[in-house]
Amino acid sequence: MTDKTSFPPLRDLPPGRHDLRKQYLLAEIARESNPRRLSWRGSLGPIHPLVAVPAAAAICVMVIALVVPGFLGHSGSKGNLNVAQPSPLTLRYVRSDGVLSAIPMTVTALSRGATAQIRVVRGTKHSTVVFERSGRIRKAVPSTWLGRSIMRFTWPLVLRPAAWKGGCGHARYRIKVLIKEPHAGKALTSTSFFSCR
Amino acid sequence: MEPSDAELWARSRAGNGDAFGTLFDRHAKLVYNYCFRRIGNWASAEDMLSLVFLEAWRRRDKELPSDKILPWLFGIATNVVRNERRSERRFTIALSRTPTIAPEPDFAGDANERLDDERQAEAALMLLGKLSRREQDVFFLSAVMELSYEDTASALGLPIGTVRSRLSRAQARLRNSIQAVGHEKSESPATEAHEP
Repeated sequence: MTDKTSFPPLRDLPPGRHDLRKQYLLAEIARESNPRRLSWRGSLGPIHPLVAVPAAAAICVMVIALVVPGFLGHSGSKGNLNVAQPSPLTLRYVRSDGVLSAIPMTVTALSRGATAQIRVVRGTKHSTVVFERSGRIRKAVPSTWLGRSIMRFTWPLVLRPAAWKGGCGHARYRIKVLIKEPHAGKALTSTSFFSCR
Repeated sequence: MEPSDAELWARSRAGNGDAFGTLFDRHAKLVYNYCFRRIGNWASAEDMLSLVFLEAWRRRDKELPSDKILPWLFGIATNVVRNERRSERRFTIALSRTPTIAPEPDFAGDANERLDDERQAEAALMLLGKLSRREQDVFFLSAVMELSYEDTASALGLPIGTVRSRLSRAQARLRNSIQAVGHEKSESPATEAHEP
């Protein structure tokens, strides 16, 4: 390439993104590597299906009981306690007649006073912001994590795709949420691409 | 003394995530910029960067010559770009039917510069789109990312002679394209590759 190149110069990842990507990568490879390290089966020898199937079923029941309060008959503690560490963004896509009509979502922060900036962008190559909203994450929700009682803060809201600029069609969309914690800096999270139809 | 790529790769192959993380620190920037230059979008390039390293980890059984880690990562990135384009193509037609809205800057602090980058890359990519996919792969690695012929060949799994001939064809084709649109002053990507 000569100096007449029309490509821009090399750039670093945006601030904080290198560490964040590395952190995700290491978490992902640790998750992928763990099953290889668990060689308990090798030490026990082959498991007979008559033992393996009920054991697998029992494990499933235990996992569901942990995740779904009241699954085994008890109602769980008051306050909608969560066992798992909550994701900063949980949402679901509600469709009617195959068309995306609503996206109920919850933004979760670690500290009171955190703010969130939500953007819906359209397109993969040349993304365009079609919706934007900012708000404070102030609803306190008691949680437990690793056996300890802690407080989380959430902002529940519903996105209506019909209200987005240009409507919501066959294009690819993505929701990006920038959470600003008062003492812990910023964190940007994003959904995968989705389409409205 | 900093461990070499080969040492880090050997440790990664043994399942050492920290060693692999150091390889990420060392090569992420180049892979990120390579992905950007191939697709012209910083956000997607960042996603691809993760895919490339995740794929590299999954293929860690592979033995690599000591100085060929980066070319190998470029080779994976080339495949990731190809797969991304395949899925993106399906949405292009639908996208063209939707009304155009002026782009707004994204969250990043240097968003305006990055938008300019994307516009600049778009023009270059339009010109390079006239090359065949195979010619593009060679051109991007050899001319744009300035890999040697040997490393380009290693990245793409090609003989060096094939790299030379494809690059030569790509240059000739680009020269013709530039002349055809009357851009003798060459505002577009270089028509001459470096000599490694």
